[in-house]
Amino acid sequence: MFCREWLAQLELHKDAIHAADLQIIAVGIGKPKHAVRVCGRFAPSLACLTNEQTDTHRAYGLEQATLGQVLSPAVAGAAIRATLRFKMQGATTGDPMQLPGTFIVDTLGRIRYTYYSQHVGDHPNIQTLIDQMPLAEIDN
Amino acid sequence: MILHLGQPAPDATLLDPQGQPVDLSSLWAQGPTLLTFLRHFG
Repeated sequence: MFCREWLAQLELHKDAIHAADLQIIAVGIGKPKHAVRVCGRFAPSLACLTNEQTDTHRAYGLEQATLGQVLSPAVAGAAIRATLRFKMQGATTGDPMQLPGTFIVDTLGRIRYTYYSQHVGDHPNIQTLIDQMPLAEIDN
Repeated sequence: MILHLGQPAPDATLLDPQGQPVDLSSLWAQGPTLLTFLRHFG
């Protein structure tokens, strides 16, 4: 699942995520105008933030992909799936080798869930993520 | 270095779609947050 499809999944399941008392923040590499274009199309109700550098990704332990994490059968499968769902990747606005990831942070700023993507087209399974939310033991 | 459960989440100042700076800590202080990092907005 590439980023556009992931954003669309978050938008589709936002009610279930909000029901778990979570707000959704998407951070992407690029300029604000890129967030306007992509979030506006695929996830208009999500809060999207941008950074032109990869330093925040790095701070969360998100590394650059290896060649195998960019060119693999799993990535090809994700690309085909995204294309069939009309959510193929657009022009790169940041580092094409950057790996994605997802976290849950509580109100005290502590990490409660981590998902480090295995390749550039990998994001959590949305239903698995929703099912695991109670396990994140969120402190309000 | 990957983050582990219970560790402090790194704070950062990012830009919203209007180009205004936003601190991540100001967002999670408002409520638990699903924070997803994309490769880019492409």
